[in-house]
Amino acid sequence: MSQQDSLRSLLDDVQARSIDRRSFIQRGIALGLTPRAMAMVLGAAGVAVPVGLAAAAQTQGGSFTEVLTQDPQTLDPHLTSDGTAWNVFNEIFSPLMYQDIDFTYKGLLAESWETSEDSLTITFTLREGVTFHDGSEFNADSVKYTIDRLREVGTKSPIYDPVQTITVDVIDPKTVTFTFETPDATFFNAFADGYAGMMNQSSVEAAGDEFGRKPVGSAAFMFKEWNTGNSVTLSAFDNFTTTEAYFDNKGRPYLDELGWKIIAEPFAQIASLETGEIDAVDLSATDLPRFENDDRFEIFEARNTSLGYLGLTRTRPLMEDVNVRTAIAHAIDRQEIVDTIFTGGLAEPVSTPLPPSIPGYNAELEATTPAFDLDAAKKLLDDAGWVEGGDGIREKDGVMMQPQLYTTTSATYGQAATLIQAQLRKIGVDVVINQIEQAALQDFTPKGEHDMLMYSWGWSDPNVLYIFLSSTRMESSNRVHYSNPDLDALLVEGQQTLDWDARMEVYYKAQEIIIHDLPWVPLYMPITKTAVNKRIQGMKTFPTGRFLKNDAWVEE
Amino acid sequence: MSAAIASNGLMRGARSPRQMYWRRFRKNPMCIVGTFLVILLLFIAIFGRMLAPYDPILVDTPARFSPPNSTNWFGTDEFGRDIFSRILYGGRLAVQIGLVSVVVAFLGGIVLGLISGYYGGFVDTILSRILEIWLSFPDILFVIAVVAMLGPSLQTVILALGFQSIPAYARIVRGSVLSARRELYVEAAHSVGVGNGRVMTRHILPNVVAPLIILSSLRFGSALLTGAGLSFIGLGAQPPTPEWGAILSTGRMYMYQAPWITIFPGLAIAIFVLGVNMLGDGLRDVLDPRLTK
Amino acid sequence: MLAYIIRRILQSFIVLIGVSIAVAAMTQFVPGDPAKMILGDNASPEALEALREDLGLNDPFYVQYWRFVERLVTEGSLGKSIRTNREVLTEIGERFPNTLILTLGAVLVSSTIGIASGVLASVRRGKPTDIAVLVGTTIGLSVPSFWVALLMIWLFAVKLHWLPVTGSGSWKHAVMPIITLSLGAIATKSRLTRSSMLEVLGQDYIRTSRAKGLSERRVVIRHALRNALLPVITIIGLQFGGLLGGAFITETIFSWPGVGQLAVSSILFRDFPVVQGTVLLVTVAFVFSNLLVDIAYAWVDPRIRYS
Repeated sequence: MSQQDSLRSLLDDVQARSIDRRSFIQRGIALGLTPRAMAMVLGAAGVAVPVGLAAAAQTQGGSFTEVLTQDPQTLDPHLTSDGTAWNVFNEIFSPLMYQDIDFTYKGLLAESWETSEDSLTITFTLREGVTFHDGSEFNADSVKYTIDRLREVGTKSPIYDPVQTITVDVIDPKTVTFTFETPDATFFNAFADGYAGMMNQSSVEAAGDEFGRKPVGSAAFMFKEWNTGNSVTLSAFDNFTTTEAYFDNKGRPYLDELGWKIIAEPFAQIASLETGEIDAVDLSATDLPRFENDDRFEIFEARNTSLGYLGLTRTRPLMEDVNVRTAIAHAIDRQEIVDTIFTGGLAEPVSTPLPPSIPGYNAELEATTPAFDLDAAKKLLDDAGWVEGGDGIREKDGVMMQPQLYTTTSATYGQAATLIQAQLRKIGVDVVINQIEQAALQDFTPKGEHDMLMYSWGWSDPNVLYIFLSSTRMESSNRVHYSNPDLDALLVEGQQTLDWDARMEVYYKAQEIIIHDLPWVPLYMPITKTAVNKRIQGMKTFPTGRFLKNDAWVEE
Repeated sequence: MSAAIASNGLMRGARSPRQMYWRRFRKNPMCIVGTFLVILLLFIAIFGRMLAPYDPILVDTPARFSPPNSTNWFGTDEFGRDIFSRILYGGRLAVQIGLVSVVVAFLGGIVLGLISGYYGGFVDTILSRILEIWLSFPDILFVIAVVAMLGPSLQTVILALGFQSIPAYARIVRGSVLSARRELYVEAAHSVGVGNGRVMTRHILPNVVAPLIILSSLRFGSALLTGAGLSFIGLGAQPPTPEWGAILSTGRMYMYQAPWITIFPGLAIAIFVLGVNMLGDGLRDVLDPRLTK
Repeated sequence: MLAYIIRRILQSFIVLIGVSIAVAAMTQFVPGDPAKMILGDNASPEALEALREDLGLNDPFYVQYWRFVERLVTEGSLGKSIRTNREVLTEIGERFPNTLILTLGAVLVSSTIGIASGVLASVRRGKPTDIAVLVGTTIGLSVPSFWVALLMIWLFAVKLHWLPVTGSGSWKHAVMPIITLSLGAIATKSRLTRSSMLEVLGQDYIRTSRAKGLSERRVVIRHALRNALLPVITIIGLQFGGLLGGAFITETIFSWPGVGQLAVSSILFRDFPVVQGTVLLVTVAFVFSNLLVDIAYAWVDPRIRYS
């Protein structure tokens, strides 16, 4: 059973009241759910919330301040792909639908929708009585305007590509249709998000060039102030109403203000948390033990939809032999990487191409991946003709096994690379590390002059395999120069299969191919542990870590 | 008494300048301490690799974060590597960074500064503009650009640092030359028909050497520190190279947990910057041609 | 003198043109593509191409440079930031006052302490005071600035609650960044002051002054210091320009939204219009401070005359 299926059956059992709390918690933990997420599942099902997580009396007022590592690029969702900016504008703009904690999609600004039989048309019925922050009304024209504007000015948006093939028609003020050229299974994932947040023509035009500095949306918080390089502040939207199932509070947030301070240096972030200048910070392995034992703070845990991997460039002479790649995979000790660099449970070892946090993960595939086994690694290399030279480094036909590993200047990647270098040295592979800036690396990898790549990706849909391993992406995101027509066909099939279970089957097959060919040696899935000041009460999190703020209040 | 020593010194000096300098050198406590520290640094640079008890890049994760103890004198880092051995190995790199970048800047700066200050006029105007363009190009942008173009390595960074220091030297030299060339002795040399090149090297250069020695001793140290600063954004020495600045920079992540990772390389840098500076200051006193006291 | 200043200002335009061409050329040679930085790791080739076309990155170097010049002359604009879509001048304008506060603060603090301690060391040459000054200032110089910055945050913000950790807006926010920036600069000025004081003190006219029976204090301050400041002024000019664009580590640690941080993040992001803008700003500051230095030379050392 996949994680997705397990989660669903757990939810079904909860709904049917066919499970006691204790076994629920056991199964929940087995699925990697945080206590918060479990409490939310129970709350959503109308089951009594466990003691200690029960709601106390909420009061209105106060503020919650988080941290950003850099200034947002802009708060206009159409003009950026910036994750930092997303943190802010995702609280300002509401999309048509949202993803619930069981990973299904539900209506937010849309009340409901129907998909045509050929899967090429979706008809949305919009919610009534929704207003934007400036008082203007949300209707079908807003939807059409938003999508048309995105298609026109959105070259910097991550959903610029998919929006090109969508046509929006207004049927009546409460009904719009989206028409696609081909069935698109990734549509909901891409558009249930702040990047597809709805905006109103009059609001956008009133702000002119400054819309990115004075955004107007319809979500729980409205823009208040942006002090460049210093802080961003939003304030509660009095007319806010929501349908999000995980919230008890469906109206105006209890918090009066939502703020972000911009602090790049981790040490300064932690210091600001201790002085109370900010309320929440993601902890590093060094700080984790101190904060776990500090009762002023509560630790929130979330599994990232992300995978750190060692890329092996199959087109390079040193890496072209699948036996060499398999030997390398056998020599990697993931547990040592996780224990050393992500001490305290800040990552989990992962050996399959899709990590457990992403639909399409299949635990059964783990047994088919090359396990940590130095003898097997050495034997594979011996058999492949790579024999140890005098200094312990393997060579074949006068060529030394000295792969060039490239990565960015990130400290984490640098440490992971150092450890991989030490691990591979044990089988006579002498890795040379090159840390270059991200911009230079992005330009460098399409040339295919690197033997190895230490990198990671973050994406919440299994279509991530298409993005990073499809042969159509050689010039950009396929950084390991991997090309396999069988895989290409499966990945396109996955994009166009709307039936959930059928789609997952496609990705199981795709992963089998990747595990055999090893363009990636999967390494770890990062886990975020966030310390939150306990003066903030009632905060919830999405399983992937995002704070859900509408039930949160400040206890002074 | 002091007058007697001075006249004695001058008399000896009149016999042999080398003896005079040596005498002054021995009597200068800064020279002695500075020389001692610099010799220590050179000793580590040359023999450190033989003295190191462990392999500086040997990863041994079970032994990580050991505080200083009898086997690992300076403790171990986040990979269980012996910090004492890493610092001994890093000594050679420290000397390389300081020396190469200073020599590049020193030579380039002297040539440009002398020409600019001595000839003045049109030549000075052109060179001064070029130096201004050069100076106003922020160091860090220049280093990033050079590293991005030539690939990441410590050598690239060292050369880029030296190259970016040339205008600072040139400005100092030019300033001193502007002032010196109107001194009586220079005018005198001209009036007796000494050529330009000879006036520059024999009469003006010795007078600008003192501020340059000071600047060089400062730059020697600041090159080490700038290297550490570049490690702050991940440029410079590539892992697992035991360069002091890089050890310091990655160690800052563990300041609470394992302060020894940063304390020892920090001390190593500070001690040798101090040594080079003391020697530089002492030498200035020794070499000063107008020193009479 | 006036004619000289006017000529220098005209020449500085040549410097600005030279710098802008150097930056534009650099953007051609440095690997990295703003479109990839904007769209991130997962961009499709089609989206990249559309964005490159949109940003005009597909045009040859001289077309892009000419567009820059044209826009500068006709609209007085340095173009728009690729990252934020805002005018480069707005981006820089918001940060320049912050940078100026730090720069002026650090120059003031380090000059005061540096020159005073340098004079002290020179008149007490070889004595314990001299060595104490040398060791003290050198320790300030030898300790990496980010280490000092982190220690100060720990002590003054976390333990003592005297100062806020990061940010800008009040004098309290400026204290730790200014100290951090001053530490290294003090040693340079102190040592240069000391060495050039020693030089001056050994010269004939000082001995004459002493022989005339002037007080030692008067000799040192009125006669020697004025003449000894020449190389120190050069260093102040250099440091001023350097701090304007080069304080990025301090600015980053204290989240001080200044020009140095903007310059570094822009080059790392390949936001070339902003790189161009910040470098030009730093150049203007350099040229201007160098001009002041040259004028100060003439004031301090009457033997130098410009024509």
